[in-house]
Amino acid sequence: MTTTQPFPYSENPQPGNGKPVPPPPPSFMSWIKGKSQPSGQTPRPTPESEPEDISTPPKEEAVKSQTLRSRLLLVLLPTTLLPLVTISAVNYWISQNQLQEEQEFILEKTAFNAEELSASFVEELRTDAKSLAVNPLLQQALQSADQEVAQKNLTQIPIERLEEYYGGSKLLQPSTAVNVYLQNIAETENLAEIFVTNRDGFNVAYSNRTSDFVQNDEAWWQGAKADGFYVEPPEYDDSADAYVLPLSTAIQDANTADFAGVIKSGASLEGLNTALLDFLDGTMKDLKQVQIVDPFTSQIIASVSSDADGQVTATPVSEVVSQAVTGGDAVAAVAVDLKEAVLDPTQTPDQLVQTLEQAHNLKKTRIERLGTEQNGFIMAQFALDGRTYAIATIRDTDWVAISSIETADIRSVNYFILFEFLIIGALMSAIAVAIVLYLSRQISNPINQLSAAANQMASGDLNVTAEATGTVETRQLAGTFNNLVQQVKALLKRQQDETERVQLLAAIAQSKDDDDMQVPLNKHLDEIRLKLSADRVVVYRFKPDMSGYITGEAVVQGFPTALGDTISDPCIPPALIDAYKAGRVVPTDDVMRAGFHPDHQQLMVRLQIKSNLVVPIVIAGKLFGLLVAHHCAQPHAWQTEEINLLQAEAEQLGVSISSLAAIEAQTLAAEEQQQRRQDLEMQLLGMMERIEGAVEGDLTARAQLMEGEIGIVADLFNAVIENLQEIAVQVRDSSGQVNQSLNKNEIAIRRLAEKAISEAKEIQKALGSVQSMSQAIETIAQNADEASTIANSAYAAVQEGNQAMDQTVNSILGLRTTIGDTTKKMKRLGESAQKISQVVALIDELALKTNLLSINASVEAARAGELGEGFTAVAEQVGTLAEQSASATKEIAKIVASIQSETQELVEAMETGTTQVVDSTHQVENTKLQLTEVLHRSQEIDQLMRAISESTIAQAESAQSVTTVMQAVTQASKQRSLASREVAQAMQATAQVSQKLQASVEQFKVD
Amino acid sequence: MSATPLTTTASTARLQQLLPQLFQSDTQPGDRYLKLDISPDLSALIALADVQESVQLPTHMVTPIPNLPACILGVVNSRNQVLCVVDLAQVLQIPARTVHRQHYSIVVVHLDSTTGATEDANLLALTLHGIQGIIRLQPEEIESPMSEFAAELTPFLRGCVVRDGQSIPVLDVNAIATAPILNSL
Repeated sequence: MTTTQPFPYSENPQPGNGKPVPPPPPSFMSWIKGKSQPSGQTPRPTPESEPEDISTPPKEEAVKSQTLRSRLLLVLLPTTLLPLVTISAVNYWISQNQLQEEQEFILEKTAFNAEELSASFVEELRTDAKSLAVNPLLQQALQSADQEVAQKNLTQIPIERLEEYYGGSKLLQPSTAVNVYLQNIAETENLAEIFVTNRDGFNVAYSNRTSDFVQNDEAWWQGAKADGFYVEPPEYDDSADAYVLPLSTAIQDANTADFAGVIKSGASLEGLNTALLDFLDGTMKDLKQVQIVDPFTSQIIASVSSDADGQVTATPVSEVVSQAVTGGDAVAAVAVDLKEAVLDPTQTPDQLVQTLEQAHNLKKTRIERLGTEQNGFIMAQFALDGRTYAIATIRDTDWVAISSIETADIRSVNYFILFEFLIIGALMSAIAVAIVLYLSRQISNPINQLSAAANQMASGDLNVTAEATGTVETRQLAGTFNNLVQQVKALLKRQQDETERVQLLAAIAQSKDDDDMQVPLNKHLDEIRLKLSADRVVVYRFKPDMSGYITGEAVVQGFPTALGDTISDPCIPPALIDAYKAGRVVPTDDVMRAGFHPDHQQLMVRLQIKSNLVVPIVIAGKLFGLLVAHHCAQPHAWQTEEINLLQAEAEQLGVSISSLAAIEAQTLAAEEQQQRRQDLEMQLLGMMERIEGAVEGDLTARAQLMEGEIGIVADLFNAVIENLQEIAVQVRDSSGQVNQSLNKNEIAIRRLAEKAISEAKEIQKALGSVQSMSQAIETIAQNADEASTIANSAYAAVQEGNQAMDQTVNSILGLRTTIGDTTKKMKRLGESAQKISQVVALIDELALKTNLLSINASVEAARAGELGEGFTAVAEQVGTLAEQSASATKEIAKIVASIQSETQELVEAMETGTTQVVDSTHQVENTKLQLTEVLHRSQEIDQLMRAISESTIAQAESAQSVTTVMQAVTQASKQRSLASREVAQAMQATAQVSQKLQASVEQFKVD
Repeated sequence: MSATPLTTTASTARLQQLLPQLFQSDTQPGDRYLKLDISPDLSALIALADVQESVQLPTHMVTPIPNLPACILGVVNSRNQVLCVVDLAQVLQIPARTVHRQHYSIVVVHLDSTTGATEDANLLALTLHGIQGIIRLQPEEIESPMSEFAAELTPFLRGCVVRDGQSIPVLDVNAIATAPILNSL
């Protein structure tokens, strides 16, 4: 094995044999529930055996079984069972996954191992052939064969001729040495045959005689020549009597490394098969089959399978060849595709998975590329038709290794595990349930007993006691319960006593008189006596006159009774009574030594009193009586508690007796009222008779004065009648006066009315004039408005004029600048003229000098005599020219001078123009200022006009309001005249009324 | 000198027009006389034969000599000869306006030796108001002097000539040289 690449499958993983506790599967839950169902009923016989439960009714038992016990079970069972079930399910799921993965892993590993083995097998054969090829003996034979071929030019001869020619030995150059060598090798290497051809395909040497001489037309020969290596499908070799795997390897020339021939060797398939078996014996475990297959021809190369017991056997070679590919053509097609994919390394495994799944309907496909890039192979795993396959393509060959297993076999393992988990889970659950049941019973029993006792108590049996058993808490609970029962008992007793007492007090309160009260009072007193352990208790009641009698008594039998005794005890002074009212308590430990009054002491002796305690009964601030306790057997020292007790009893008794006292007082009051009413009626009748005359108008009648309320009323009556008398006299007098004054006033009022009417008329006139004034004011307002508009338009016109003025100022300023420019230019012109005159002066001088020169020339010419005649003429002409030019310059000078003087004049004129322009500018500015002034003025006029208009409007409004006021005044004066008329009429009516009043006053009798 | 090219061409054209006349030797008959301005109002003629030269001299070239009559302005050096400079107007007793000048217009005349003047002094420089030019006169044109000239002028006159309606005196140089004013020394 030359290739040792790191590969995860080469390690032998130890699948987890130490399995965790198999948890119950999910279906186990239902089983548990089914079991726990009866467990709810099982507790029933247990409580039945206990004595407490017998007494309780069956209905309550049902309630109880639903509460504590079942609650305990309901809480505890799920809390123990649920984690158990969950852990079991998770465990099952994990180990199932692990197992499945393990199975798949083994499957792949097997395929991988088969691939490794096959590849190494083929590799070994190739190595053998290569080592053979470099053998010098063989090389020599090949060289000589080539020489032979070249000599005889065999390549040109047809194959049939060659076959015929070399038909004898079927060798080019029969060499026994080489043949024997090959035979030896075949024997040692366990090869069926081995033979060698040269580069032209002619046999050179062989171990066994071959059927053909010329091999270059064979497929294997051409394949080996092209690829250097060629593997044929296995075939049966008669000579070796075995199935062989023919392998052809190209030979390279030892010197030139050219193609020198082909070695063909037939390796025994048996060897591959055996090697496969040895190799896979360790890894193949369960029912599986491993095949080495040529997918292109569907030919099986080798096959190993393991049976149900895990016994691995190699299929005999003779059967292998005729065996079919596991999974049939479909798997073969997949293998073909994988083989092709090996050649195309660009295709990623994921793409490959996709294409394969689509093309062959595969499932759970997994593909991995392994090995180097040049010499790689593919591991593929997939499920098809209920089997799981792992395919590894074998390097250097067309073969693939296929390992497969029934998918159902994988599952069957799972079912076994499931079963294991079910049993263990069931056992554990049963144990848990049993423990929970026992514990719940232990806890609930004492509580059950306690609750039974409680039930009994609730039903009214207070003599029950709870047994203190069980835990500390339940013991405490039982003790507390017993205490509770005792307290309830005491409480009930007290309540009963109190009820009786209250009933007695109620009876006392309801009684209407002493006799009625006697029986309940005596009973109550008896109780008080018992409480105090006294020998006698009495109620001593005071009459209104402060004498008293015994109204109630409770006495121990054997002692004399005091009931009904009227004890006149004159020795109770009012001061003592007041002290009793204030709550005085008199405890006397020994009456004989207390120094009582002798009569009182006698009474004590008669009643055999040794010690007494006196407490007042006060009702609504009045002393009702005394509550007295006696000790008759022997003297008794009164304790504070006893005193307090008796005081409290006295208070309560007072409250109960208060109603009786109230009833007695009511009866008395009702009798008194009756008497007084009769007296009042009598007095009232007498008074009525006396004042009857007043009704008829006789104001002189008077009631008789007497004592009491009626007397006061009579006095009041008399005062009223006297007042009435005075009033009647006054009315009579004043009505006469009124009549007189009315007659006087009537005339004056009439005049007043007339005056009011005339006033109204005048006011109406004034109203007319005010209205006309208002109209005039309105006209003024309109006029003012018009004036304002005119002023406005004037203002606009002035504004326009102002703008025009502005423009004028601007143009004048432009004119000024223009004139300035012109003046400057003029000045420059003057300067130029100055320059001209300078030049002219120069020319003049030149002319003068020329003249002089011409004169001198003619003088000199004259000196020359005859010769100078011509020159003289020239000089003369020069002189003439000089003269002319002098005169011309003079003229020029004149002209220039005139130009200069004119220019000067012009400049002056310009300057005057400029000043004029400046003046006019100033004037325009002044005009503009004046215009602005006009503008302001017109604005002011406008404002004034507006103010006038506004004030006139205000005036108009006020005139309007004056008009309305005047109208109101007119209205008022009209009303006044009407009113004065009405007053006159009213005066007349008043006069009539006063006359009537006088007449009616006359009716009263005053004197 | 400061003439523009335009005027140059114009003047050249004009010269070309004039040139033939200029070099025409039309010798006019008559004697030549130099026309002078003694004062702005009075012109006079001197025979050109008497004239040595005409020159303009700056006033500072004339060296004044003290103790001489007012008409003798001073001496001047001309062509290595010292000349006496005489104001003609003063000699002729013509009222001349004293004009301040920067230049003197001078005509140098030579005198006849017969006058008794020294060899050196036969040249005299006359200052004038102005020199006008040469004119030609026929001898017949010279008339005897009229009374129209001042009496003071008469001793120096040779005659007078009427030109353009104006009579111009012809002065005698020698007479001037012998003027009593000059010889009163």
